[in-house]
Amino acid sequence: MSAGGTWRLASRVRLEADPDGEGGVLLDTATATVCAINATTMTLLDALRRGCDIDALAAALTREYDVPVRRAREDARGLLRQLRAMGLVDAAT
Amino acid sequence: MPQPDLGVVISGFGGLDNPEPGTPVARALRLGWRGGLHITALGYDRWITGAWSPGLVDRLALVPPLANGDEAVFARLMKLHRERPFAALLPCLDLEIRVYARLAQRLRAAGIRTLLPPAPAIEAVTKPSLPLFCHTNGIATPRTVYVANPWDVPFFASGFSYPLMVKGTVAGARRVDGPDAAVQAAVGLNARWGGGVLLQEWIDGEEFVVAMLARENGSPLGMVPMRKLAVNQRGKGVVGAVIDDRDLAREALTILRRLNWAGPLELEFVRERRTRRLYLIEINNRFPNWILLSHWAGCNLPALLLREILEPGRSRRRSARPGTAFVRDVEEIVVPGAAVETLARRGVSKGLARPRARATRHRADGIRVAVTGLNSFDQVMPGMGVAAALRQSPEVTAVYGLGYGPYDACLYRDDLFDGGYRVPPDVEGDALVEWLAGLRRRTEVDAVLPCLDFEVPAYAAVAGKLAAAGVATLLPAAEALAAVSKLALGSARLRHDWGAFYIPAAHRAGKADALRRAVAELGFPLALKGRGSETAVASTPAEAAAIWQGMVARGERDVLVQTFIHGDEFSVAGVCDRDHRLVAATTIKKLLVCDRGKTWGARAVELPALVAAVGDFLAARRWCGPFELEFIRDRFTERFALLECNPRFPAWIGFSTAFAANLPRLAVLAALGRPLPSSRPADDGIFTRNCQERPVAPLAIASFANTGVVRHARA
Repeated sequence: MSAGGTWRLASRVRLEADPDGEGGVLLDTATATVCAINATTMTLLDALRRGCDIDALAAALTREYDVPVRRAREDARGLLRQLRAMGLVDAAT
Repeated sequence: MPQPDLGVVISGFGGLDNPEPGTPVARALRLGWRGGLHITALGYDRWITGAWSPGLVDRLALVPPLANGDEAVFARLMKLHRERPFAALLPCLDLEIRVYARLAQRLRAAGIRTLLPPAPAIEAVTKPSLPLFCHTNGIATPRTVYVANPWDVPFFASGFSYPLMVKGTVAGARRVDGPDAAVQAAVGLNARWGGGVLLQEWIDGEEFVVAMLARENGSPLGMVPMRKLAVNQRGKGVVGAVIDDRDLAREALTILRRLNWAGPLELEFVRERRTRRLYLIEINNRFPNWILLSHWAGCNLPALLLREILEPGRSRRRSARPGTAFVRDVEEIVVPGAAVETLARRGVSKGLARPRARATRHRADGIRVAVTGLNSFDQVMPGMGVAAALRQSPEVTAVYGLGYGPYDACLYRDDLFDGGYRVPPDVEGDALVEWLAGLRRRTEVDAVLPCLDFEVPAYAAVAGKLAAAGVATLLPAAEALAAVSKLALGSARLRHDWGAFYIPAAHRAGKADALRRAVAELGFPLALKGRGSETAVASTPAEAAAIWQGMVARGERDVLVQTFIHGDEFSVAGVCDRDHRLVAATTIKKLLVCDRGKTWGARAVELPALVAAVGDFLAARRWCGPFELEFIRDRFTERFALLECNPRFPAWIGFSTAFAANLPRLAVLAALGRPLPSSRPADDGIFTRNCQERPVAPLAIASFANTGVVRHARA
C-alpha cells in the first residue's frame, strides 16, 4: 500500500486537544468511535487536518521532538497506514 | 386577535426508569416547534410522572384503559376536544397504535389528525409476526420461536444455545443463561403482557437503532441512526450517538419500503461482531424514548411529524448530524399534592408551570465540597440530590463531582457541578488521603460527602488524616458502622423494641439446616437478604431454598432470613452531629418504586414519634453523619419495622430541600463545625422523578476517560 501523495483527515473526523497539552481525543462521527490520542499523534493529526504528505508529517515530528528523520518517517507512515485502514483519511486532491 | 396555541395530544408519559416516549416527544416539540403549543398529556393513572415536568404540558388527562373498547376511548377524546380543541394526536405507546389507527377517520372528521400506519403494517411488525415479515422480504433476523405457554419454554429453548433472549409479545426482553432463568423470565413477561413469549437467538455484536418517520405514502421523511454507546441493565441505550453508516441506512430504508408504513417507527439492529452482518431484532411502531436526540442532531422528528400531519407533503426530508450524542439523566421535581389528587379524582389537571428561577446568593469565598455517588445513566444515586441541595446553600461556593467512569452522567451537569474528577479505582487508606489532598490543592475543596455504601467505611477509616489534610468529613466510626449492619440489626443480642419502631428478628442461614430452622420458625412469606442490597421474597420452602442457593452461589456466607412484612414503605433521612445528636430529619412515605427498588415518587410526612425514636436509636449507636433508615409500616400491626440502615444520604435527598431541612447543607456545616440553621416544618408536595435526556459532547466523555477531569464554565 503506497502512502505517497497528499492526505487529509476525512471530514467525519473531529479532533479535540486536551487543554493541558497532553494529547486529546479523536471522534469518528460515522461510527461514534472515540479514541484517546497522545501528544505525538495529535501533532501528526493536526498536520493531516490541513493536508500533507509523508515528508511534511515527518517534518512536523522532528520539529516538535528530538527524533531522527528516518524514525519520524517510519512513525508517520505507520500512523497513516492505520488511519487509512480505519477510513479516517482521504487522498487530498 | 392572537391565534390560540396549536392543540396537540400526546400519550406515553409514564414508565419511571424505563421511560415511555411521550415525554421526550413533548420535549422535542417544545424545543423544535415554531409557534405556540398547547400540549395535553394522556395517561391511564395519576403517575404519568413525565407530564408533571414543569413547563412541559398544559393539561393532563386520564383516559379509559384500552380494554374498555374503542368507543370509550373515542368518547373520552371527544370530551377533551370539546373542552379544549386539539388539532393532532400523537400516540406513543405500542398497544395504542392499532386503536388510534382504527379511530383515525372518525377523529379526522372531528378535526383531529394523526399519521398512523395501516392495519396490515401494524400487524406485520408485531413481535410474533416479525419473523414472517423478515422471511418474506429477505431481511436477516435472529432465529425466533413463539411459545404460547411459558411453561413450555424449556422444551423450545432446547433448540437454542445460551445465552438466549426471552421476549414479551409486546415489550420487555431478558437475556438468560440457562433453562431455569428462561422459564422465570418467560413467566414474568407473560404475566405482564400476556400472549406467551418469544425465544430469540442471541447475536453477539453491537446494537444500533434507527428512528424513522414515514409520510402517508410510505416515503421516508426523516431518519436518525444511533449507535448505543452504553446500555443499562435492561439493555436500553442510555448513552448514544448519531452515526453515518451507509449499510445501516440502506437496510433501514429497504425495510421501510417493504413495510408500506406511515408515521413514526423504530428499528433495532445488531451487527454481528464476527461477520459484520446486520440483523433486524425488532420493529417498534412508535418513536423511541431517545427521540430527543433527533432535535439536537438537527432532525427533530416529532416536530417533523406534527408538521407533516398538519401540512402533508410540504416538508423536505431531513438528515441527522453524525456525532451528536446524548446521555440519559434524571430530573427530580416536586408536584403539589393537590394537583395529583385532582388528576386522580377528576381525570384532568393543569400542567405545572416552569418555576421562576430562584437564585441563591453564594459567597465568593465560601465552602467548596466534593460529592460522590453521581448518577450512572438512569440508575439514581445520592450524589445528584446532594449536589442540587448544596447548590441551594448560600455558604457553598463550589461543588465538585467525583466519578468513577465517563458514564457517570451527572459529571456533565454544569448546573450542578463546577467540575468533575475521576476517583482512582480501589483507592483507600493513605492512597485515598493523598488523592483527596491532591484534589484540595487543585480545587481548594474543604469537605467531601461520600454517597455510596462502599465508600463510607473507606473514608471513615481515614477521616482523621483527611481532616489534617484540610478535607473535612462527617462520618461514623467503624464501631457505629458495624452496629447498623444488616447482621447487627438482626442480632438477638441487641435491643429490638424502640417504641415507635421495632427491628424484626433475623436468622442467619449460613448452612441449609439453618435455613430450614428459620423457615420452621418464621413461616411464610420470607425475605432473604444478602450483605449487599440483594433481597428476595419467598412464599414456599422450594422458593426459599432456590433463592438461598443462588445467594450462596454468588458468595453470600450468611444469608439473613426475616419475616416478610406487608405494608407501606417509609424512609427517614437525616444528619447526626459529632455529639451523636440528631440535627434534622426528613420522613417520606414512598408512593412509587421502580423495578429496581428505587424511590420514584414519595410524599413528605410528619412522624415525630418515629423521628424521636430514630434519634434515640442512632445516639445509642454513637452515630455521626448522614443516614437513611428504611421502614415498613406493618399493615396488620400498624407498627413500623426497621428494615435497613444506610450509612449515607438516600437518592431522594434533593427532596428534603423543598420540604424541610437542606440535609446536605447541614452535613457540610456540621463537618466544618459551623453553626447550623434551624429547620422549618415540611410543606405538602409529592417528589417524583423523570428520565431526561441531555446532549453531551462525545469528546467530553472521552476527555474524562482520558484525563479524569471535566471542567465546567459556571457564571
